[in-house]
Amino acid sequence: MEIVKLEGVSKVFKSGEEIINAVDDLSLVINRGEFVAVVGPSGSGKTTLLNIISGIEKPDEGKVFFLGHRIDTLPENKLSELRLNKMGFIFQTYNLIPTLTAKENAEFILFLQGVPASERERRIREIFDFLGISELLDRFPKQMSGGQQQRVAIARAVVGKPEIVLADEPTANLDSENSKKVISLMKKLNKEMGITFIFSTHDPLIMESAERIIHLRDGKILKEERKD
Amino acid sequence: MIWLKLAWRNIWRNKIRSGIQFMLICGSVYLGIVFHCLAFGNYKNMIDQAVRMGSGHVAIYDTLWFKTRKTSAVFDTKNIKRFLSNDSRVEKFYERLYIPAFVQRVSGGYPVNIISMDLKEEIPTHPLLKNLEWKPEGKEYVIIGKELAKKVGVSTNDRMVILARDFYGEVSGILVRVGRIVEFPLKEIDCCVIFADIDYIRDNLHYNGKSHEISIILRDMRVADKFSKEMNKTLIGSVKSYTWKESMKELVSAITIDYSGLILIMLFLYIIISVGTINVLFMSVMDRTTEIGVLRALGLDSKHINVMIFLEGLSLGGFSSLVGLILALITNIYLSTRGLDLSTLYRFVGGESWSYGGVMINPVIRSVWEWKGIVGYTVFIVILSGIASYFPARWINRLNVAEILRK
Repeated sequence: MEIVKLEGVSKVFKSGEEIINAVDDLSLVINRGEFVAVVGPSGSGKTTLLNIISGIEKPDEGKVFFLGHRIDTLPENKLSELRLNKMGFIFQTYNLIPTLTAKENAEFILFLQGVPASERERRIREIFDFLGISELLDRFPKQMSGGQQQRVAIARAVVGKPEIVLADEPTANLDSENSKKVISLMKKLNKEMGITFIFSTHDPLIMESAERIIHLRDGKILKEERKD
Repeated sequence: MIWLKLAWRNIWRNKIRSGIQFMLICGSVYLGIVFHCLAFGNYKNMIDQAVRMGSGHVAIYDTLWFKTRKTSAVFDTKNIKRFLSNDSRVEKFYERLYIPAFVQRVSGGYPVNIISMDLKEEIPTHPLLKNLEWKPEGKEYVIIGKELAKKVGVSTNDRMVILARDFYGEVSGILVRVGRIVEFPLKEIDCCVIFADIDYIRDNLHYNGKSHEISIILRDMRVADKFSKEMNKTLIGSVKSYTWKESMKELVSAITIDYSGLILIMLFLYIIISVGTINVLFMSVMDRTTEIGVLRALGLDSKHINVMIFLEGLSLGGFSSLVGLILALITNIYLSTRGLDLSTLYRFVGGESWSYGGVMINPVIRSVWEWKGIVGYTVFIVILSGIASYFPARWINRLNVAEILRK
């Protein structure tokens, strides 16, 4: 079943006199439960593609569908609601809220989703146990290493039971050992919880674990690889 | 709860910046409440002094006397006194005759005003006379100011002749004896007023049963308006009832001007606080542009961001105001019992007499518990702090999330 579908999507940025085709007439279908890597050199349009899929960025041309519904025409508040309830995000620089503990960072998403307090507590314990990071629950971001912060960011991304997680270079700031841990956690969530993952990366390690690799260049799909 | 936790921790990210704003808000609430309660204490004192010295909470005059101070405009008090004696709202009432006169001495004549009253009755409560601890030994005894005594050249127990027109317009001489010489704090009283017994003056000047004024002290001054209206329905002819606000317009103006000044100062202070709070929140939001962009990406909409920043403003304002309020209440406990003695300060700045708006004031100002003002100042600043969050919230919500994340 299709979870994301892009039809002839284009996005142009202007930088002074220069016009950059970040995404150029791109069509793509991602199915539920896929573990997809988007790879390509810097400026190839990886981040823009993820932003268009999440509705953060609106395409100049083309259509974007999420779970069969067109989302590129939705107003900002509907897109926010969609991202809150159906999508999870992992960033290169972790981006946890520094004034909240690991637990509170995850709880904040559930709170905004309107999950009752007792259910929030249960789900946070469950996901932190599942990811093996229960010892980090009460730590603030500054009390954690980069790898630990990224694992908490993964917990935050999936605690709201999203349909899809979009990860923008999630291992770019991590050493190889931490990168492996992060990838294995993402893989585990994909296999055991059936969450669809789309991530942009330069990391060969993360590429190896992907079932499907989309190569981008100048905003176009150069080639696709699938592992069975 | 998580919103409040987030807001509270966010405002203390920059401790120095928020600390300065905390002190500013806390100090303003403190000053606002303390000055407000002191000012109201002072006004209460002024009104009380004025009411007891002068025309009471409600006064009865002949309209002509009220408008022109024409000495002949007196009225018969017998029936009114009977009526007042039976009204439970009336604490006391005093009759007064105000007669312009001359003190005749060998050295010359000195213009004075005779305030004739029931001296025995009024000495214990009159603000200018209550510390005398003296009872007149006869009806001819009068009280005069030190300045007048010096001018006229009399001492205690000396006799002097006062010339005044009687009820029929004839000039009559009244022989009085100086009972007490007092240094009055009001210059215009010290130099030119004689306090005399009303019955003695009436007898000598043929004002039998007549007065210029009946000054009524009520048990509760808040009923003055209603009481005055009721009195006017029963009074006949040109005799009318006036509330203290009508009869002491100078005092009302003085209080209004003073209070307006206080409000203006506080308004100015509160504008500074609002600008300061906007600045603190703006800086805080600008420092967190990326973080807020991430929150928007995670699914927070503009309403969520508004709530977050609004609560930051509200918690900063609320906490600072609470501390300011507590400190102000503690100060007010002291000031309402011990008072603030300004006599040294007043002498230092060269004040000549303790009067304001024509009314004697007490140099020891005791604050009152004026709850409307206490709650008003606190709530107003909390609301202002909340409103101050609107501008930074609007600014951040206008930014493009994708652009924030790209940066």
